[in-house]
Amino acid sequence: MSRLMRTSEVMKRPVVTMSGEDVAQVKDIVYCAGGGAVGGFTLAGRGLFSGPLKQALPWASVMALGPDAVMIRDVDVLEPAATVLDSSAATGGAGGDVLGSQVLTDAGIELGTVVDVILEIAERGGGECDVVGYEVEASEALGTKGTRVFVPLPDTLAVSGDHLMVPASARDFIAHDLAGFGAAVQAFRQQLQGTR
Amino acid sequence: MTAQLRAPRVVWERAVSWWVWLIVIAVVAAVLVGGLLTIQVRRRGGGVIVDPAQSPRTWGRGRKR
Repeated sequence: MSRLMRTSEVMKRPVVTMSGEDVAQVKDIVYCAGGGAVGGFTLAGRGLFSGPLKQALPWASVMALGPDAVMIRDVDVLEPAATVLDSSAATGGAGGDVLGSQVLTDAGIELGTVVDVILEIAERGGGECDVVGYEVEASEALGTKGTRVFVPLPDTLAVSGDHLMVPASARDFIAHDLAGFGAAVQAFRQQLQGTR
Repeated sequence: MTAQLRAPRVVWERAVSWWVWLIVIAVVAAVLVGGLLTIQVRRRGGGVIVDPAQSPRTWGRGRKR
């Protein structure tokens, strides 16, 4: 059993230890293009005048990702940011922030601009957290310019400096609401496996 | 001729009025505070980062990638 969540819901969420200490808040969500697994979160301090922290939170140390807070055992589970970033680094491509990037199909059709990223989170603690789709502001090619739609992603993503590539068949599995998006992702991936 | 010589002096007298300086200081302070707040909001703002080792952006404090 898993649930879908927007990354914008996770950003700025407080990181709280089991003893109730509010140690940081989520800054960036870091994931790997190969498989889409979320490696962890970079952190910012609490309070308006505190900046980014040198420590980051690996996904493996997250005990629960609740609607109001990210729960961790204690502050010792935080690791140097470099360790978490390196663990999410793929061998190829040139990554960066995907928000605001253009989504292109391998047929050269622009689907739109990424406004949010959809995570699939395993319900039980210690489960996987994967990037499964983009919420996109549709381009003219989709016929609903300006509306927000959900584009499913394959297991392995192609990422370049400015564009995010998806198979052309992703267009057939675009969903218009998050409720039906899980089924669309599953159907899209099954279709991709069938064509391999 | 006299009017031409007086003109700059009149302008200067107006400029040194207390309320002119008050407005200048208020505008400069507003620009400074607004700029600092914008920088701070950007520092704390988040993103969704793919393959961070390949990115030229700075991740975390003092880490240039």
